[in-house]
Amino acid sequence: MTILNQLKEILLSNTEISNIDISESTDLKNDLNLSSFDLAQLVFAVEEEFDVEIPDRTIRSIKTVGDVIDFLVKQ
Amino acid sequence: MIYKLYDISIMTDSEYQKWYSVMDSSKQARVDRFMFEDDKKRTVAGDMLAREMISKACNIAPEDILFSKNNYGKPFVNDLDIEFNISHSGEYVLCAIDDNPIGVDIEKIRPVDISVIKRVCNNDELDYVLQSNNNIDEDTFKRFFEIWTAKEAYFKCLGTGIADVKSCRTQELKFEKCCISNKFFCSFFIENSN
Repeated sequence: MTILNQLKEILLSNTEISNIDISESTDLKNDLNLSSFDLAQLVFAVEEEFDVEIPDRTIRSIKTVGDVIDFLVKQ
Repeated sequence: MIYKLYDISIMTDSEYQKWYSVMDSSKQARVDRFMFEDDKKRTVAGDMLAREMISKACNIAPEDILFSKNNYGKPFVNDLDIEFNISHSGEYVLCAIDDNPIGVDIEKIRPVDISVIKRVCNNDELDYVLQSNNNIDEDTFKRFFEIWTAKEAYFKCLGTGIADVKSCRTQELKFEKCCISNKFFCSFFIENSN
């Protein structure tokens, strides 16, 4: 499974969004309007799924699904 | 502090169009980009509540109110000595105004994994949320969202974006709180009220 597909599953199971077309350019706030709790759940789930720790500074800079993928690829 | 809670299900198409047309162009562009209709309605309703409440408090026409954002994205009112903050969850939009910087948060109470509860709460908060028993039930989630919304309201008041959530020790700060029909929890934090 690609990282994008893993992130799609995490988004669908940890937020209240329904099944939609999520791509690397999908903006977590401006397209999906995720709440801060949704974003926190996303971060926690990504950290657990990929066994990484996302620093606060990085969390603040994450805007799109692609930003999460870029962070994971660099790990 | 004055606050208003609005249910977007009562917003008519004409109200939506009226308040959409009053919004500044950058916010309209943000609304246009949302994938879901309810997200559009929540954002227009938030702008509507803020304009109506600030208009009444400052005796200014709603369409003459100008909003800006700080470097972390916290909105503020240009040229008026009033503070506001907006939050939304599910069908509800919450807006509060005050003379001092204010942060508000509303969240739908829903099941949360215990691992998330432990990531968010410090030891004292964890004792309060779990109440020293092993049964995780609806009341556990209600207490968790009491803590979460308090932390979020605190960080929104500071206007610096959410940081290490455990660094906000809610038991040492003063919050206004309310629970709506056991389904939503709201918290308010006002600077200088502590």
